[in-house]
Amino acid sequence: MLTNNKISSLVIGTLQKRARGQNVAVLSLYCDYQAQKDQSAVNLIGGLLRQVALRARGIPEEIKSAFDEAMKEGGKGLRLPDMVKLFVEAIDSVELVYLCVDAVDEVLPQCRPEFLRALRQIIRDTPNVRLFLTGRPYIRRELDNYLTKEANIIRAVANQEDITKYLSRKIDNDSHQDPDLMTEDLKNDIMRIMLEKASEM
Amino acid sequence: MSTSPTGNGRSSSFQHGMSKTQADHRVTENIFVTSNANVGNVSNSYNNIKVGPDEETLRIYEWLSPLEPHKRHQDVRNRRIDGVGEWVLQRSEFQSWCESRSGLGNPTLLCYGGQGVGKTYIR
Repeated sequence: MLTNNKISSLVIGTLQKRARGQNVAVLSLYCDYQAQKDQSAVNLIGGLLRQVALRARGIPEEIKSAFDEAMKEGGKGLRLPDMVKLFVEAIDSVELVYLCVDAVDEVLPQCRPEFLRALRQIIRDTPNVRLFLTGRPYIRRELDNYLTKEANIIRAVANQEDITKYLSRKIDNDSHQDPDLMTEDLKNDIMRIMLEKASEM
Repeated sequence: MSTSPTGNGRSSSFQHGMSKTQADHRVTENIFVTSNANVGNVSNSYNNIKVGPDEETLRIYEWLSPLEPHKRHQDVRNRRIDGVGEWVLQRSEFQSWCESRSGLGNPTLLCYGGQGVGKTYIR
């Protein structure tokens, strides 16, 4: 229900609206248990760079020349420090870059330090970057070590209003299949019990 | 888009609804074809704009990363329910982070949660 990726999606959508027509980029990464093998630090930063390239009209010159260079040497992928450097160069002409990383905790633990260090370097090297992160509570200490010690923090807990909105949408979706089965009483019971359960957690 | 996931009050006109959607789809395709044709006619100064990315551009994307995060965003956005979590946007932490300018204030905002918010019970 109120999962981190919904908050991320909401934040990203809001930032995209604000960015429209301005020299502002909104870049996003959704980390995901199911895609962990591809989520090395270098691929994650590469994923951001890919969005920079998509956003531009045509491939930016610095990316193109790095690619040509790599092809001459057999087509190998970039190493992390070079990828970070290229990213920093590629966003240099953008006034403001919102960088949104959803579910940092879903990156493999052995890849996380490298990834977090790369993000830290990006923030240090480019004052035009704003970083938004979501993660489960247990990741907080690890993040603090790299990035978030002085950061702004929001603790996300679903409130009653969220739960009510979510449930009534779900119930409506369900009940049109067989309207006779979903009586008002049943609907009210479901709402009441769910809200009770949620408040116990 | 007219594809409401709830489908309220549409069951009797379901068949009709389908064919309308298909017709819409055709119209949309026609619009794309027309606009692409126009793009092709624009002068050389815009020769970076193509109907789709060319082969080399695709190779460069692949070379950068196998991940396609923007697609994931579309997917999550489509499953989002309006209004849920919107209070986050009203928080002063979010607003000051969002509006802060280069070099001022801490550039990082962390939103943590996701455990114990009900997703085990509610799917």
